[in-house]
Amino acid sequence: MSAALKEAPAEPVTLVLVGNPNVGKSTLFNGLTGLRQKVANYAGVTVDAREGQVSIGEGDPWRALDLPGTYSLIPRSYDEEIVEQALRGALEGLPAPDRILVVVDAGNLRRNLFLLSEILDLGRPVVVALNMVDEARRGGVTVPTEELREQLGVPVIETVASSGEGLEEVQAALAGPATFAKGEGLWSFEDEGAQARFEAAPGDSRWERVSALRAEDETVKGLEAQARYAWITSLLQGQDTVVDRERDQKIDRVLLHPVAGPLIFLVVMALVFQLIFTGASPLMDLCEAGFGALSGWLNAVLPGVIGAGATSLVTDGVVAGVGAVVVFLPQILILFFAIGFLEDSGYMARAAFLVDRPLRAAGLSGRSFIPLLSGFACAIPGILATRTIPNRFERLLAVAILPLMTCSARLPVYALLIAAFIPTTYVLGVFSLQALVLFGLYLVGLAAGLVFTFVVERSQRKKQRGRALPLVVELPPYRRPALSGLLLKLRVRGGDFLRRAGTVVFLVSIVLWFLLNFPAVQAPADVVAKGPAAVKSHAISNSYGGRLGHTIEPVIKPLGYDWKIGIGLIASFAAREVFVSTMGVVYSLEEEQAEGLDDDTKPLEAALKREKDSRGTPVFSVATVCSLLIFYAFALQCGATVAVVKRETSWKFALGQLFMLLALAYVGAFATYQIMSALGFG
Amino acid sequence: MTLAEAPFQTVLSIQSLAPEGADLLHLGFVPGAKVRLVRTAPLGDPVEVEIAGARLAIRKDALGAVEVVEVTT
Repeated sequence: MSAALKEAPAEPVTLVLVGNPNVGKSTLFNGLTGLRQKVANYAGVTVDAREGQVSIGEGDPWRALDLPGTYSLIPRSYDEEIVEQALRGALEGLPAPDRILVVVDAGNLRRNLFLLSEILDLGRPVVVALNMVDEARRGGVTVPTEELREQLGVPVIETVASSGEGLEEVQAALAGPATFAKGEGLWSFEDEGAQARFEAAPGDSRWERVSALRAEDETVKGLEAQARYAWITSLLQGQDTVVDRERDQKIDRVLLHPVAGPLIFLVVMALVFQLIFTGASPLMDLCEAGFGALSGWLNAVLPGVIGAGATSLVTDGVVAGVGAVVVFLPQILILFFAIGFLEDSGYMARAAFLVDRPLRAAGLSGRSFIPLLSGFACAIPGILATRTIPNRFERLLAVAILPLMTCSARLPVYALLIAAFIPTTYVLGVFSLQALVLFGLYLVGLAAGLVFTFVVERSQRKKQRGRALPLVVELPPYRRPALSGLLLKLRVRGGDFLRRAGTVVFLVSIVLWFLLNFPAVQAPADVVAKGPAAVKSHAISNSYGGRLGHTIEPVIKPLGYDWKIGIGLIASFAAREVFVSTMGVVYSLEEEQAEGLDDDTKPLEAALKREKDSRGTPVFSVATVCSLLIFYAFALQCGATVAVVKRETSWKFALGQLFMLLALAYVGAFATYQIMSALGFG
Repeated sequence: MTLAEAPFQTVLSIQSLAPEGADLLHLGFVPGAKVRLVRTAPLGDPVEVEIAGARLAIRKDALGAVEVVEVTT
């Protein structure tokens, strides 16, 4: 293999890391690659994998792939299918691995050696890392390193990935000649007939032969698993010890307590939200101020160089649009940090254990919990996180409803409308009506999503789901999360978010800028006399976007909106909160008032309240406002989300979702407006 | 008895697995393996099961496929 590679130097040597979940595989991967890593993307493959570069020996760096944790190569889920394909070299864009690094938890060899036994059957060069040997020895486990080396015939290296111990030895072993497992040291069927059929089965490797046998006879599965475990038992020679987990049991007695458990869970989630929203706000203000300053500087410098029109494209189009997405980066990084911390500590698995049953009532499972939680900050990281859901159908369900989770881009819109039109009264003397409306909007989105998954899962259960996998999650030992690993994860995931969201928003911003600034109409004298704000308002009203607003007015009239709101809805497609600034322009706020909108929406609130239609009745009635709130709760007005969904699924799915949510928003807003009007709130 | 009916906090030995339990095999649910039910989630499902040194949250309906006996010490 390596000889062939030397002839074709363009193709780097490929290393694949594989192992059970929670064995420190990713930490080892981090140790090997350092900062040279990114989220792995292959055509049509959407699993939670990372790719990086590793320096092994001399010569060009190797290409390393960190595959999702798995217990077995027999594909039961999409994740496992991809792992199996990657190891066999059956994945498009990824050659068969030149080396497989199997990461094994030294403290629980019995379970971990099962996967190793399957990988050895592949007949590819293998190096074994016995990870967390320190924890295993402290827990009273005898680690049979030498025996394993002897029996398997491949390098077996003790490592402590968290401290970097054994990393050099792993690199040295990988740089060495390819080592294959000794055939005679591997497992065999106890049943002689089965063993004979196994040996006679077609295939180049033991893995292909046993897979062929399994395909023709289902009962082989049981015999095979038994044979592998019998092999493990003989390998461990009765030293079948595992780390004592008394301390974990004590913690679980509290955290998984029937009453205290759910309560603690709610408190933890409340803290995460608190951290995301209040912790991020100073950083978000800083981001906004930074983009504002950049815009101001460009406005001062550019007109002399590229002219006023092009300057506006850069500042009002590109900088404002991209800034509107980047401003969410602090929130998303804090979200990733909180989730990463809870994951690495072992609590997230407990959370999945606690919420599995309630989520199952809605057709999902505990695995969907983290993606949906992420969706409350932003749908995009949530959609990316669905890669960890092993059941493909459930994954699509989660992607479908993620845009219904109230993301933070909706908050500026909600804040403006609620502050302006919902009375500051108290319900039952304690609950602020404004706060209740906001809370209600969060619930409406969540409820709509869960009802959707419930209905779809029920109707498709037989066709799509096949069988539900029995394993919900493994409850790993509690561990102290390593800060360096967390920060690395932040860097990789944060960069991924910026690349994906940024590029789309960049394009959408440019398109919208053209729609709202062309054709450039000369304002008549009476408008000019009213001042620059009126001129701007006149320009936007006569732009393509403005005309589009007029065009769609008959369609949005039954929702209680006029063409000016229509412009806001169109502009929202770059990012929802753009509604606020667009309304500022449409209602011709004075320049300085419009610029201050981020901190103080009072001038805009007043303008909205002043707005009258041709018959002199206010445009923004309570019915219109509620209808608008419902529209924003349901509609997928986010170009970046559509693009990410397309990448993770297909155009058909992404557009189907876009129109489904638009229809839901339309129907919801229509019903809200008509009912409220009938009740006299019109 | 099956794991679905077995008592909690007792060491049990797996006797056999019904065909629909095939998705449990790789997790260590093979004849002869020791298994212990630890607790259920607050709503009674899933069930925390200790097997082969790991703790797994397993769907309750899958446990009926695992035939066990109590280990007498």
